[in-house]
Amino acid sequence: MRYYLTAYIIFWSGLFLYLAWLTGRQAWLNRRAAGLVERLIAQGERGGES
Amino acid sequence: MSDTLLILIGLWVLLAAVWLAFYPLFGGAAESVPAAVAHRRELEIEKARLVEEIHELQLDYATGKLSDEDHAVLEARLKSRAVEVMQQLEATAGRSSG
Amino acid sequence: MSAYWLGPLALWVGLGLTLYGLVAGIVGGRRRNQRLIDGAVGSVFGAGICVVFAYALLTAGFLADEFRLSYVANNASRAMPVWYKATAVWGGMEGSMLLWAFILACYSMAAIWIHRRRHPELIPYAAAVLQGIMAFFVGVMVFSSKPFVTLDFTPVDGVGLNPLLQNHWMAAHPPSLYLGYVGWSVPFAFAMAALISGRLGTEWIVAMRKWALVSFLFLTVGNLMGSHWAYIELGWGGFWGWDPVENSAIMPWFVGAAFVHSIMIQEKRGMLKLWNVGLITATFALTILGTFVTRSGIIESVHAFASTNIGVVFLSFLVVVIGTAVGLTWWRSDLLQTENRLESFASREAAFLFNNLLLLGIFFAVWWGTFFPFISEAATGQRISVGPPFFNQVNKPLSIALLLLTGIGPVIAWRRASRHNLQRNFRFPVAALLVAGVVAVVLGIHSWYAIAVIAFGAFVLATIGQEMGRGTRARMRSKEERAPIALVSLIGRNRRRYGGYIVHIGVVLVFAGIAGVFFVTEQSARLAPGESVEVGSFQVFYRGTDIERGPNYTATVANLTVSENGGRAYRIRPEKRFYPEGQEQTTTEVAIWSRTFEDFYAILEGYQPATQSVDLTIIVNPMVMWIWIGGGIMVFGMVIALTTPRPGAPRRRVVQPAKRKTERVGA
Repeated sequence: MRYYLTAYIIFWSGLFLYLAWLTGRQAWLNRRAAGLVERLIAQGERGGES
Repeated sequence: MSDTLLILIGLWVLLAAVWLAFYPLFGGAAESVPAAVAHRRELEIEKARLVEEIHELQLDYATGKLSDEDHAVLEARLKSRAVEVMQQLEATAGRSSG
Repeated sequence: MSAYWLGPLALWVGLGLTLYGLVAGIVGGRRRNQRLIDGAVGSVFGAGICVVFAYALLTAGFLADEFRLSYVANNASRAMPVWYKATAVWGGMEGSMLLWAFILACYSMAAIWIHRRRHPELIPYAAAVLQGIMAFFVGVMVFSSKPFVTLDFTPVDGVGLNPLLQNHWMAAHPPSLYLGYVGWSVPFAFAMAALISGRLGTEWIVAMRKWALVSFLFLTVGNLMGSHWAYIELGWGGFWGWDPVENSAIMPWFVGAAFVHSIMIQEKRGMLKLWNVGLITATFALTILGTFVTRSGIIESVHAFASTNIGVVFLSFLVVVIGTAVGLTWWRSDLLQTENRLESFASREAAFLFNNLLLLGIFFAVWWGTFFPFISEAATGQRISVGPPFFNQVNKPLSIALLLLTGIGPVIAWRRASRHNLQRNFRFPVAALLVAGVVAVVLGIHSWYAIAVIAFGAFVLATIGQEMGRGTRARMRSKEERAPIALVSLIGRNRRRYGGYIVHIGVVLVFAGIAGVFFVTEQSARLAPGESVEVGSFQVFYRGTDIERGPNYTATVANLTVSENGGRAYRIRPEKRFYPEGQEQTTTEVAIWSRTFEDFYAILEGYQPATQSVDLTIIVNPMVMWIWIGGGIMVFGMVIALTTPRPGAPRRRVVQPAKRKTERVGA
């Protein structure tokens, strides 16, 4: 039982951390991309005004 | 005309399907497999499985995946079980023929 | 023709028979009432006949252009070739349900017929569970997605099948995938039967292991066909896009692979009993989920052409399936105790356990990526989508570790590997690993993943070679056979084991093909007639464009010639097809010059009639061919493993020739 438990705990906690990190990064990338698009639009609008 | 034929065939097929499912309920000979026969069949399946397993064991040993000690223990266990099964098989054979 | 009312009637009768079989099987089994048991067995055939009949009737409707049937009108048209008319049966939701039920009927009848005498204790419950599954699908067709709805009028022509699906790979892909999906019902039914009857030894494993392997085989073929279709038909240059529908086809594959491996540990060591029941339940549930995802349209993707509100029905069924399995497992938990304990991490058992964990890990990562957008949307209201980079990145370390275990698993010792065993079995493979790794680095490969695939692939191939070599030598010694004969008879005598090794050879090649992704060259160009472009070592020359007419489309075809380093020139012709009828859709038909180590892949992106110039995307895809070759080898290995004679069968074979001989003597 000890062996099973160690294997399961190490494996799944590692995998969960990795997944959490990857999805977190993806969310951050998505936000950044959205922010970039917004900035570009804003720039375009300002450019149109001037 | 072909329509009528198709409908007739279809109805016959469906009737046959219903019959297949329900005739055992009214069939006369609803005897279950005799326990002795079932037992014998089980023993035969186990025997075949043991033979397969002993063969696998030798192959594992030959390709270095079992320590000498494990091999000896497992082989002895499988063989004694196989002997047991064969003896039981012989006993049932004797009973059914006698 | 006006005989189509027979269709719904057949489904209604089928539904009645399945429900009767479900009850009769369980009650008959518990009370040991042979009449009820025989009734349950008979109902499998009765319901099966009804479903097969309904399927044949719908196919007849398609072949006869019976557009009064709304489903036929929506999925076929007169101009379609006969072959696509027959395959258009599963072009939509209703027909897919019917195909599911049809395949389940065939599997159930075969499985119950074959095992009815060999496993009399399991059969009533297995029949009941199979009938329960069938009841769900037939019920869906009776109450919700009705395949035989007729219109008040007869349309002149039908809408036609989505042109993307008018491709022979796509015609063959759903049946193969469904053969893979549906097949898991049989092992699942036997697992549930084992739980209900309390016979949780190796009996149910022995009974259903071939059915699991058959399903695994078809699932493999289905996934290969699907990715081949994506490669040649979707025209973006890749073979796997981590599309939700692709993912739902591959998820049961990973869990099923874990199951196919871990049942060996239960057979040999009496371990992992609970785990195996869990795995088969998960695999079966994933096939239902996969059918649901493909057919519900909850996920927007190229495949989700079906969109009906069938979701709740499917999810309820999933809850029932999982709830039943968990409940039964809870009830029988005392019988699921392990017979042996894991003694060391350096053992065959542990290698298989890690193999299982990795396969499940990959499954879970794919599941997470597929469903995270919904989870995040439900939880925060904001949809966070993860794209192919997520899947590629998460699967890199997992798949590499899995490849390594593919080598370790088959040669490490049972129970506890001694230093002697490790030295004896791993010296040569580790040497192969190091040599291949060094060669890869020296050749200037930069991607760590590609280097790892080469090194670990060499390791796996070395272990397999060593296994085959040792087995052959042992046979040469004991039977005094010559090497080639010894090798062939070794494989013939141990088909399951060596078939498995052959599958692993295929896996290594598929890995090599996938690693080719790191060396893709892609280039876009606009060419006028007479112009040419260089891509890598290829020269592409554009000669002009033809307009061609197909049976139900018009095509714009670019005539290109390709040569490598000024060598022999080949003509290739990427097309764009326009299907005027029904959906008014355009498809891109890529042109592929397939070679052993490199595919030259040309996509016609656009065409300017005024200047006759074309916009092309040219992709050089290395190693893609090896995915199909490796896949073929995997399938071949599974077929070998499947041809293992049933335990007990050889005895009969010995008896029969002897009998024949005496007959001949008598005559």
